Amino acid sequence: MRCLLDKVTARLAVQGLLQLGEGQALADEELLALDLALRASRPPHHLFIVPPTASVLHQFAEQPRFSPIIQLFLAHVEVLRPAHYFKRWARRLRELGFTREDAAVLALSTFGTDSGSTFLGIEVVATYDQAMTNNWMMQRDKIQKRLSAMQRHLLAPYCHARLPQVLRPEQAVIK
Amino acid sequence: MLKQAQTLPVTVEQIAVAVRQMTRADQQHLLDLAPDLRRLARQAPVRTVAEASDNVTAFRGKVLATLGGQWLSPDEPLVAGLTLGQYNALSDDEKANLWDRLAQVNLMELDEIEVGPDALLAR
Repeated sequence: MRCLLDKVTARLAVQGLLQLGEGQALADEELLALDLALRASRPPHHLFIVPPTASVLHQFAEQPRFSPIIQLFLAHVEVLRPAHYFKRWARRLRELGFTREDAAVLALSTFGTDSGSTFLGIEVVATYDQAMTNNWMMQRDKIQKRLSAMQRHLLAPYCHARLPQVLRPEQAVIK
Repeated sequence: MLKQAQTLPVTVEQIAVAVRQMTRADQQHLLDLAPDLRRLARQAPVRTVAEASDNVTAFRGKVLATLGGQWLSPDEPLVAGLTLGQYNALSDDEKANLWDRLAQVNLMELDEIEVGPDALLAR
């Protein structure tokens, strides 16, 4: 299974890691986000972050004292890259009422790949953004119809790209 | 206390009683009529804080080893002129704003990658 941490969930997981590094207790959301990061990065699963998160983490890693702990996190994740049709799908999602950032993350989950272009799309987006989750759930059928309509004109593999599940970290089933 | 259904003169509890008395086929039909119920059921938490805590605690030793056996100090400089302690003291909104400011990447401006027809698809 491929799982994407949105920016907030990744931030909470990293904050949890820093709390661990301080020997401090974690807040529940930090705990659940870090727990998912650990579960979803064990083979055969793959854990992803978005490019903006990677950019922030590389700045955190510039401090020698924090570099090892940030590298430890980065060793568990890969960066999800935009594949062809990502921007077109993000624009369609914007028309359905998603914010610019939410539309980009959701579009990336359907039309995203790794640096080697070995796959298209991920199965789960982990997020604490309840507004985005509610909008996704309430409009799921309409979103699927919009995607199917767009895909009628696309070649493989893009015509087979799928919508992800959008879940809170504690709702993600990792078998 | 559960809210009363706004457009029906019955309570949620009364609806629940009626659902329990339905045949399996009628319950299935209800799910078809109200697919949000099925989605909500799928979204139930599957991971408790206690389970997560066990998993994360087991990782603590690896974190400490990564840090050379020395805990991080709140006085250590982290990012954007803030120490770890100062970062921890920020509100969640302030931390989110800081990350937004540091991100420096607009997804919509990134080049799109071509994916071959034999790429693995999401299941």
